[in-house]
Amino acid sequence: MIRKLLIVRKAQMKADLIDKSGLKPFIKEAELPVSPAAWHEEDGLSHLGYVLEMKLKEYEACKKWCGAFPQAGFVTLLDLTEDVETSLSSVGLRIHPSAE
Amino acid sequence: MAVITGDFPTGPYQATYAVAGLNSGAATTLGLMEGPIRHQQNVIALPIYATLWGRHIIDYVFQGGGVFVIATVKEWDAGAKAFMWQYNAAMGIYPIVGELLNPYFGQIVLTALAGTPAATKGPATRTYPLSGLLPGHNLDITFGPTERNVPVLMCCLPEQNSSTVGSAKYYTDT
Repeated sequence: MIRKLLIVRKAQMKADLIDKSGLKPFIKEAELPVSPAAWHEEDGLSHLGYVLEMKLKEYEACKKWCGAFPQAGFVTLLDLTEDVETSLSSVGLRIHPSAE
Repeated sequence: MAVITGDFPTGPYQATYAVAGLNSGAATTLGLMEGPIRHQQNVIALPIYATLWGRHIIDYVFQGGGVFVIATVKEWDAGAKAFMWQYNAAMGIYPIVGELLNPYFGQIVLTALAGTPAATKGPATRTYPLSGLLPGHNLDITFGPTERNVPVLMCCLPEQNSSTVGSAKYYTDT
């Protein structure tokens, strides 16, 4: 199985984005509240995160879906070779402290 | 009166730098800086000519590229010093001749200020995993009754883009 962490910038995320993405069956954990490590707790969330587990064919479809958004970084697919925290910290993010 | 609006991703970014290698440590903030942080990016490609088209360039063969970060630090603390000089805690000490530089290079993370259009429109963060002082760039440090503003030109090294051999990734936006 291919494990990835999908990060979606919250401000530009429509409510039904994930529903329409076709990725819902591959989401393995609850939606993750994410914010930059440099932000204060009171600054709120910047992103929502989703742990995905996919077979190769599904991963190819996922990559295609992620590439369909013209805004750079609106959706980002991160490698998930270690844990979620490590993956997020590699791009300056963290689980929002209120969720811990 | 109607306000004229646009899709303007404005807002300051703060930066951290985490030095790798022998001088490694946790990410440290670069603190206050002079002016905006600048990102530069280019493509290197070989032009293709053909007899029928004379000196028209009819296509390019992609060969590589480069990514650079330019910031002017103005504080004089551990973070700013590490950003200026990754090779040793003492700024006068250089690597050994013949050493590769990548083990010294560190991670730059730019983060948009919360609540700004930059944070909303993105990138909220931009991460360069491997960056260091561009060889050949002269650090120009003032000693006098003025602000100690030091322009630093960082070059970035790529990682492999996921599993695609031959495709380079220099930074990640979120």
